[in-house]
Amino acid sequence: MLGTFVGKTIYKTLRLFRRSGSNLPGAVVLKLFPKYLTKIKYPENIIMVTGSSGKGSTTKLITEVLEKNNMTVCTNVEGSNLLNGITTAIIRSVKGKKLNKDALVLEVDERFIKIITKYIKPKYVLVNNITRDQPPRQGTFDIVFNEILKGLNKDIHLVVNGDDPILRKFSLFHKGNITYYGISKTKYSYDLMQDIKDYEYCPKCKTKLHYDYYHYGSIGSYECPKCSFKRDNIKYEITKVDYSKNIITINDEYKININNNILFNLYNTLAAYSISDILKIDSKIIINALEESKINNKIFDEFTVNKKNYTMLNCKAENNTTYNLNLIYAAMDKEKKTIVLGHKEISRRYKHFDLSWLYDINFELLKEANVDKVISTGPDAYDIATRIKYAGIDEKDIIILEKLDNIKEVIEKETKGNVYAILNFDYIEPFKNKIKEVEKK
Amino acid sequence: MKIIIGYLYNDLLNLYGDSGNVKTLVYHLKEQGIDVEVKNISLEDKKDFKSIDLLYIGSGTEENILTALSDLKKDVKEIEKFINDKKFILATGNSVEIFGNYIIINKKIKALGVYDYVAMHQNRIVNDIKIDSDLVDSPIIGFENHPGKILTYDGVFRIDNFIGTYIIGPLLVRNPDLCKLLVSELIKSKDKNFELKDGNYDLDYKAYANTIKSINKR
Repeated sequence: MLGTFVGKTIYKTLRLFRRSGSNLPGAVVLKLFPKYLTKIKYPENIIMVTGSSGKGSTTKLITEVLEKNNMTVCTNVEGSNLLNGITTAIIRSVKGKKLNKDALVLEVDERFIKIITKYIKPKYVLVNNITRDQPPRQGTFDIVFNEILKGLNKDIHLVVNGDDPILRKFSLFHKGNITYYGISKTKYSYDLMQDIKDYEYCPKCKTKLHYDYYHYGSIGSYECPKCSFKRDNIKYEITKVDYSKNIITINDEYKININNNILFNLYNTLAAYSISDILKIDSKIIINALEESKINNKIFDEFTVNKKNYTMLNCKAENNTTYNLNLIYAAMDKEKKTIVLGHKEISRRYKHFDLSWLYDINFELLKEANVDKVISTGPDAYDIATRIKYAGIDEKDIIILEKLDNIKEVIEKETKGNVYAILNFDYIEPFKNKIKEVEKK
Repeated sequence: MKIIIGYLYNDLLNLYGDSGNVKTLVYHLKEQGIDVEVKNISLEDKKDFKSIDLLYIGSGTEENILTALSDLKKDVKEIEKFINDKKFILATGNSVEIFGNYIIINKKIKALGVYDYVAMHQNRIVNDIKIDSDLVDSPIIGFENHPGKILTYDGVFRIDNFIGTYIIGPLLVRNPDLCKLLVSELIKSKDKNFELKDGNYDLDYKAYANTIKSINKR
């Protein structure tokens, strides 16, 4: 097909000049051949992963399992999850008219799933979460829900987190199969939830949902006291979590040793397990692949410099869920600790000064978490520090650094305990470099 | 002195960091030595505002705003009485629409009608705001993210002791002058001889100055 030839040529040319080329080939091909995607013969197994956060990691986990099972996989580069990026990924795997792989596994932007599914018909769609996220772009989580719904049809087998009432709301509209996964009550579940909740009322009858326990926010075991809406039918369930050894057990039987036990990692791992089992891959192979996976090192990292223990926790600005879960994780450490917070930009997509999301993060829990100092960094350091003040932290325990330049010295001289750097993804590397650079001299 | 804040629909209308306004008020009232209580009042609660000094209401999804509106309609007399008693209401984000005559979303939806304005829904408006107001000398800063428009009012407006704005999130944190005004008026409404201390707004003012600088740079 001419489109394929054009796309591959552009891709190869870009690579010659060491450009990533993850979007341009797709953009040009779709401009010249608008129907390109509908002409391809796709493999039977098409999986699309969408949601507010963690869809890139989950897509990679699924890809690793499939490859471990000796399947060839076409997948897109993380973040290149709009139409052009996806088209580029497909062009690279097409021979003639055929996508020459055993499976197509795509991370799809939550606003684009309705567009992508017009061209490519997925057999499975995994929605791993819908939370408050990038409000200037997404508006509200209700809008995101409705946008995803537009991409679904009765031929799609939907796989979602059944612990989340907003995801179970799909069952009120979706005519195809739905499989739920979830986590049963653990000793880290809560009877009461102080964090802000996205969803507190039954989507069917508007009665306040009752909870047996919470894992986080409105995620947990809920039941409407008036109608039939409740958490049930969980096919894949983490029935035990061993936090000291990082071992999870699925359906009382399958043990997986994971990289870290932050809640979203548990759910992403479980989601990948569920899809892989639905694809009838042998559980030994699934477990093996998930245990070997290194992809979570990017969002979680530990190291020691000058006897200081650092834990790097990657967050997403404008997404309170990632912050809250990382704060909960840091607070599990009972020892003295210092918290570093900050971002370079609120968003790489647009320039706005919206800092409202800081008030949806439960920084109040730091009051009881044996915290020595909170270091607020970056161009919005004063806004972050103000938030920390209103969380009830004494101002003398808040250090403000608008630039990272002296951060290592400040940490070593002015703070006590383990360091938890809970930073936006654009500040992880700059921070790490500052901590590690002096050591090289 | 004791001041009771009624947080309306805290579990329904809390979409964009709105609770920051309540946190800030509590902090600065306590700083003045005042005993503060926050009462959450939501769908299944009785709307008895007799003991309340200030009602706060924040932003929500389109669906939740309409749910709150139809719930509050049942007690519009309570709201009217609250307003006649010259008590304070702070409405941020799209909750401001609830208090006008109508919300027009394809069709005309009757709102509480305690104030004379209409909210018209069109395309979503997503904007940084820096705007003068009749309330304080310094410009008000903030962020708006909603599909409606009130034609007769802009920025932060005041009718009697009702303060309304489409600005989302922690309005009072980001505008320390406005927070000071509200804290002072709220206290003086209970005891006009009360001597206010200087509050601690150091970080707030630094953050404010930074944002003004960033907005001006564009």
